[in-house]
Amino acid sequence: MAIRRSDAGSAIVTLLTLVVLPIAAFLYLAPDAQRLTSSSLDLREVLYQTVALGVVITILALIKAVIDKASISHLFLSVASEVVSLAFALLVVGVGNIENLGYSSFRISQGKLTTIVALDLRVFLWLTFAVVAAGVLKIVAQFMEVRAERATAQPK
Amino acid sequence: MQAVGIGLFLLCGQTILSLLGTVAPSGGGIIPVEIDEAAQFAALTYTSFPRNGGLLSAEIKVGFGVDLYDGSYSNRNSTTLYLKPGEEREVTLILRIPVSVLSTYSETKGYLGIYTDVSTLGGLAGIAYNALAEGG
Repeated sequence: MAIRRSDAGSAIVTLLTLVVLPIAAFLYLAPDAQRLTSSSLDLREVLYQTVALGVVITILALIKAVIDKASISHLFLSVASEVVSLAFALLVVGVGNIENLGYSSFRISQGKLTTIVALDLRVFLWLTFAVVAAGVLKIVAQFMEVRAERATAQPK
Repeated sequence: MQAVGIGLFLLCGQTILSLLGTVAPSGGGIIPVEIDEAAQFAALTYTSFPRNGGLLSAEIKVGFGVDLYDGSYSNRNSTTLYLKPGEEREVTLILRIPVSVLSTYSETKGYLGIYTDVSTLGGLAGIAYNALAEGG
């Protein structure tokens, strides 16, 4: 079973940026993160969701690396990878809650001081949808191109 | 397109965070109070120097106020600034409240709030950061 180096490299980069980096960032911010977990924003939960989605995207990338690019399976896996990436982006924009759809608010209380934060990042939600839609179109176009090349290259 | 989105996201975050760090009241976060015994009014002065250390222009609304829990008193003063990248401005807000209200607030029956709204990308992205300090 041959592994395409470019796809394998992409999987490694995905693992580093979506799994290793969030874990490292959380450990670096450990004291502040623990303070926030006592508020309505649970950073530990955000980390778990982020790492879980990152692992799924990495696994999809690794499977794609060994599957024939002209196969329907590769097409479906590529589209699935885009959808999971969308979920990841929604998680980031929603500060840990995908259902927030880019608008999040949370409260932190320490003694007599209460801090209320509301974050509006909905513009990035729409940008993400546009990027994913364009990505899916590109995947379908590439799939059809590879199929056409294989059909042309086949001996008659 | 993806790179543009990520770049804009990072620029917005950098601009917003740079501004949030500069809106705390100057003088160690203390709001000075001057009491006019004759008029029985207290003047609270909020001064800060918001500075846009980001790469995008931003609009910032800064305000502070005193509210009592029973709803009998609520007073706020605020202002809105538009800061270009690298620009810094001084904000001075004065709130005059009756001394009796100040006393009530001090008995843990109210709160002093500092309200900050920062928006960038023409108002498309922003953060509202409100700090409420209970009296007492």
